[in-house]
Amino acid sequence: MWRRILWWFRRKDHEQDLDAEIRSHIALETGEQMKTGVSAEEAERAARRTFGSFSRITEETRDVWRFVQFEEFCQDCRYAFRALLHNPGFTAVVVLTLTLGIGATTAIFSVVKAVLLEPLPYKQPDRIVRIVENVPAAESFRGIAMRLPAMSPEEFEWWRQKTKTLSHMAVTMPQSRTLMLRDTNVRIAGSRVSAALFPMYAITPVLGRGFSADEERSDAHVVVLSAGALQRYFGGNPGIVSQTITMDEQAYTVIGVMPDEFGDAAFWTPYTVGTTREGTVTFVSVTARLADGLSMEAAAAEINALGHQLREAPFKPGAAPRFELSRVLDEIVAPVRPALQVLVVAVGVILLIVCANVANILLTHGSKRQAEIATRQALGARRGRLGRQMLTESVVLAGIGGIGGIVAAYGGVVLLKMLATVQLPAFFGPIRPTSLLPRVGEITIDPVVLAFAVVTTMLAGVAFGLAPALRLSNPQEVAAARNSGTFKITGPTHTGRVLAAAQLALATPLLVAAGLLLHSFVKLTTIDPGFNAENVLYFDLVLPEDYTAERKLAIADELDSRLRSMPGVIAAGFTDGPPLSNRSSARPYGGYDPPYKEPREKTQTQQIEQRSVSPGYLRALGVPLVAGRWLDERDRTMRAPAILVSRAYARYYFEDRDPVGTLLPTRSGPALVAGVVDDVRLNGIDKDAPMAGFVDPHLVLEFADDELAKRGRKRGEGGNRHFLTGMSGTLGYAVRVNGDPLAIAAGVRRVIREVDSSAAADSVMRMEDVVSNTNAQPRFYAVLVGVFGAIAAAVAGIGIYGVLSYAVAQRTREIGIRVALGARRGEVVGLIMRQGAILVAAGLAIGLAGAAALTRYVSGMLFGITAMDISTYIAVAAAFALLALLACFIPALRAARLDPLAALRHN
Amino acid sequence: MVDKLDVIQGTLDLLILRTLQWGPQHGHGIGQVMRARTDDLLQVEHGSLYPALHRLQREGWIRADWGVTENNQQAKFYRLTAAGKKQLAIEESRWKLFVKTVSRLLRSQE
Repeated sequence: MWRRILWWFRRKDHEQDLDAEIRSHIALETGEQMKTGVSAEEAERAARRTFGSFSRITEETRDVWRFVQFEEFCQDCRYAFRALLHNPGFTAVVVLTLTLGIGATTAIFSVVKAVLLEPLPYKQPDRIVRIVENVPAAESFRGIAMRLPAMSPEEFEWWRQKTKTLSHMAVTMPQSRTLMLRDTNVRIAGSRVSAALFPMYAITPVLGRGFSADEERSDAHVVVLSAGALQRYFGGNPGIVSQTITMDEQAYTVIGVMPDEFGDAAFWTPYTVGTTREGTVTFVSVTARLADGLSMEAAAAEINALGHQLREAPFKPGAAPRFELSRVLDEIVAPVRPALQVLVVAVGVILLIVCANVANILLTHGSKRQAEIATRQALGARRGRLGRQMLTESVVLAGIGGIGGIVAAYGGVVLLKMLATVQLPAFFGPIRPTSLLPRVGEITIDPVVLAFAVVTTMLAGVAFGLAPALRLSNPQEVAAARNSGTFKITGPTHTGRVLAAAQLALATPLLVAAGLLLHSFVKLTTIDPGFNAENVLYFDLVLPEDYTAERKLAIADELDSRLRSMPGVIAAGFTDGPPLSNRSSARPYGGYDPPYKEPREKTQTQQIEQRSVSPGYLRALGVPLVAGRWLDERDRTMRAPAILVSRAYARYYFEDRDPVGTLLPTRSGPALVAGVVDDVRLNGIDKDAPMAGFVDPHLVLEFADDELAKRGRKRGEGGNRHFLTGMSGTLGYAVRVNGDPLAIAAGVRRVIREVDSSAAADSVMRMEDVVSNTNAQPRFYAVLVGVFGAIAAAVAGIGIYGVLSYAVAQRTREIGIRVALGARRGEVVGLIMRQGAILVAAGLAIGLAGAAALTRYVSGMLFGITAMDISTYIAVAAAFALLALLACFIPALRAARLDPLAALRHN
Repeated sequence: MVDKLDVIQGTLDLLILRTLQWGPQHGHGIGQVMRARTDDLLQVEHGSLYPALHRLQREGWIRADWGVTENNQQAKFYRLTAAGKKQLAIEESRWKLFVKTVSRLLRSQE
């Protein structure tokens, strides 16, 4: 071995040595031959003849003393690079195809790995569970059987005391607070949690400690920050522990800092039973850890038995369990698992199409290389050696494609994260800026993903390289090629055609699905919401929860007038329920009792949407006034309160009469219809505009007080604290400006702080972004499936192109003869196109049938069209057919342009 | 009528070692000797000697030095090493055993 390495290092010397040796042999043999009396030239020729193949013997001798495989590989690589550079068009097509295939596969794998495969970043995540109750219909408050993964605070206490199979139980309640810093107020999202939460996850604080059990009281005023929040708001100050910070005007002592891996909360405060609102039915979300050494089944059995005890229900053996345990890990990923599995199948199919395709292209390309291969074989290249060379070329191609794929995957992941992360105000969804995918922050291209990409690339290289390598290095076929000029391969052409049609058939359902989702998305985005979001700034005003209704209104009004006096502001206002927010408002001001309708028809009253709006709000939103006038401040003092109704309301209740000026009897006396506004999609862009009434919040408050007075009750101290801001503690503002609304964002924040030092602005964004983000889910699916559909279509098009190019290459001579005999160009084009059209028609027909069978799986994601939407089918089929026929046309044109003389001389 | 014989795979090494037993020789000469001693019955493609020579050299059974032929031409001369002599003995006995076995087999079937 040692000797071999030495030899290897001195290989240059050996090379020269061998050359000299062979030269000396030839010289000696020439001398021998000359003795027989022939000429010196003749003698040397004879000497060379008896010596055998020069290059093969040099090669074989070199093999003796070198690391053959490695060296040959390097040599093959160099050769492959040269060959690829020599054919830039061919290389570009193959590399692009591979880049798309490997890029898509790698990006989706990175998602699958982060969401489904990677364990959650804490101890034994599969032992964290949740108690789920299967509530029978008879006992359910909704009247239907349901799965309830939450419990009341009292039940939580009960479970915590009774259970022996769960070692930790902890409540987690989302909360938002206003963090008051020296010069600004910010809204931060966090959680109220039991002291047991941190030990349950076995998370060690970065600084300080977690909560102790005796801190679970409402006057503890301690807080744990996340490392991210510490960095962002306190400059990463490690001395923060035991200092105080101010949230909602209250001082909290920081007792610890938790690492960022622990979820997306910015801070935690202790959970106490008293922190839930009185008079509201509250469920708390509880997680628990299985006691060490216990199986899930054992714990589930105990929980079910305890549960029956809790419900005082007889325990029937053999019945379906009333109480169950479910793994939190499963809950996180369960909603996206089917979608991800579909994506995995989709990219798998794409990768297969890509490999089949590249194999086809290599074959096509190989048929042009017969001369080279024949020469190499004549020079003594063995079959295995030739095959290895071909395979190396494939692997090099795959390698370049793989690098491209990894770059594409980086882009893909960025795009995915951008699409999946959606900022929406609290009115429109859960408390925090949310993501369409769980664990989206963990999606990265890490070494494992890179390794996956490399392995995929290598496998792909071998997969698509094997068939051409075997075929083109086959001595019989090479011999045939030497005679006939091209590789006569009958079977593979057939396979190639079937493959190309299959690619079309596979790509079609994907493309139809993409078409349906895009069509649906376009329908959603072109809907007129009933207002003009352009140049409107949206923000939520967040007020401390314990402010009285009067104080809230006074602050809101003050801010309203301050905003209107800002330069560039055209109109401003606020509401308790912005449009599109799916916030069905069951406000106390209501029960319009409109005239002109039979009592039977008045059941429609139930569906009248009622929203509190300040006089300027609808104007700021740009809702068109159809008749009458806007509300103004004077209306607050009028005997009959003025209201606005929507056009749908007017049409239904007033038909062809003019509603303006009509007094509507309501539960709290008559109300004056001051004007009619155009229909607004209040409950979501995908829901029709409801019949609606808009009322000044001052009147709503007055009405609420009147109602209390009527029932002989006094107004509570400070009034109704739920008023106007409801559960989320926020008011939605709209400010119409000249130019970019974000330009005044900083000014708005300053004004808010001046109006009230505890108030904060949340979700300051363009109204246009709010509107478009309500479509984030359909956008996500449309773009993702659209990209995959486009890739599949492009690759399938290249497939058709490859097969027909191959056919043209094979038929060069035939075409040459046809042209020589007088065939016109059109006829030659027709000849090739006919061949292509059959493939396209067959592929599309099968694909469309497949699409009809499969697209029902996306019907749940569609708006305004059905999964069998005929116009989408036609458009997709037409576009795809056009693309495929274009792919056929290029080789057809090439065939038509063949010079008959060159074609005949082709052999 | 006997056709010319191809060298049985694996025996080329034995033949080379055996040829070198009579003294150092260059590649061309080895081929000549082998043909002469078998009355041209054994056909060895001249070139195919070289991979074998280099393989034997790699194994350390022969050594090579440049020298000059009787005609004053440069050539590389191979000679047996001590290890090569041992190897020759091993290969010879292995060959004899092989021949004996095959002959016995052929006789028994007559």
